[in-house]
Amino acid sequence: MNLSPEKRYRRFFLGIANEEEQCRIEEEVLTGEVDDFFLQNTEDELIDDYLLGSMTQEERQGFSMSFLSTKERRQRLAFAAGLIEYARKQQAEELSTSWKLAQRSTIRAVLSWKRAALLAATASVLFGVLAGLELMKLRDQTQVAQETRNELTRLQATLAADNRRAAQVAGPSTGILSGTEDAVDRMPVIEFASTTRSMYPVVFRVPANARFARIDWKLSAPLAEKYREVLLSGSGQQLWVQEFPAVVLSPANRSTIVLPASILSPGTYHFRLDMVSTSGGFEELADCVFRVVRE
Amino acid sequence: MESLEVMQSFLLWLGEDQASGALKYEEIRQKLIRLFRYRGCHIPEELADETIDRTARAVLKPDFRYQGEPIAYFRGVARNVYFEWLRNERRLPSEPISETNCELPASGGGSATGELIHDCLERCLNALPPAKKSLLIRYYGSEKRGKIDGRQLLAEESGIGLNALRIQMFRLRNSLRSCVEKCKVKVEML
Repeated sequence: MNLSPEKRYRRFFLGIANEEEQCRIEEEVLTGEVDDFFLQNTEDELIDDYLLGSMTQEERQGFSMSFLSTKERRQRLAFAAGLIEYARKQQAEELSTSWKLAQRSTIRAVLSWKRAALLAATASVLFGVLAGLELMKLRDQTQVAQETRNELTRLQATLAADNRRAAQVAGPSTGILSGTEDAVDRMPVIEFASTTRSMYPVVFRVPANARFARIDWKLSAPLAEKYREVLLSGSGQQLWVQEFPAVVLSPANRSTIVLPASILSPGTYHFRLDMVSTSGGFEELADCVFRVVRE
Repeated sequence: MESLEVMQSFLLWLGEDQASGALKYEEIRQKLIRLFRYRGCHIPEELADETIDRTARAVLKPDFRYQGEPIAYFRGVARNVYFEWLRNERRLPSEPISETNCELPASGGGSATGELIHDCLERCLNALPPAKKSLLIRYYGSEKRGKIDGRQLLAEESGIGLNALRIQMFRLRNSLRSCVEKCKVKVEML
């Protein structure tokens, strides 16, 4: 039986895994092939399924006989039960409020359709004027961005040449690089697309003698003016963070990061891409999990 | 472990020298604790120490023959320790886990613990950015039969994959749980 990792671990937690499945999981946990994020998330999913009645009879039995054997899991169950109950109440209240509002607004709309028509006409005129103003502002901004981009491309070429020289003289050098430098192309590389999101780690093979490793992001299209890339260890420790404006992306919307291979010891990592949100803070755009194997 | 000498010999079996053996010892201990915890044992530290003690006793016997990674040997011993613990657990009268205690209350809740969790949840959820609060409520507010569909729909509406949504929810849920735990302690101390 070839089950997905999630199904295998569910059976393990419920105490219904067979001998072979148990051995495989014990090995994976002891060798660190599976990270705590995946294990805890699978436990949370089990708790949700139990509370939402999405379990088979065999699973329900395993859940109460085996899974709930520790106090910590029982506390997590109580928390999840509270959260689900609270969320349902909130949704029910929101539904009832929006229903009442909809009723009221329908009555008002029927009673004052003439006033509504007048308001709509005024709004459309105002919208037209505002749109015209925004269009003019956008044209100006596009021109400034183009000029900035040209200047940055020139500076980037200079920076890349400097970085290459620094790497030869002083060892590790890092930063966003563009272009097709030979040294960068020879490094072990892992590539993600902005749409890549996986909870199951992709394997990144890094030769033992490698001095640098490369992580490439390929964005489908620029979505924000500014991005942030964050490398986290399996335990959530932040190992690397880098912010950059969209204008420094290569024409193919590719971002390349070069890291000293020494920080990538065997284990699981998260590579997260954040983009600047409308409120000015960062919000998560993508999150990829990968496992480093040194060979 | 009985003596310093025994400990030193054991560390030399684990690593090239005592320092690297000591590091390996701690690393293996943590991994064993993790394994027993995910196995559902409520005394993972004790079982990890028992596994290490038994392995050390076996390794230091004069007729010990084993070629391979120490972790693989530990796995075999951990397995025996786990099954022995399980047998003992089943023999001992244990506190029954009532399914009904864990089910979602049909309406209103009502217990003191339930009310405390509810109040703390409200405080902690209100401290979240509104978009995140709304996402959490929609994620966990899905109906019983429609759980998968409801979450899939939410992921599509948010323009992300279901896995990405699960990752976001996992992080939010963990920070919320830790906030609720702190809040409960504070309230109980008052």
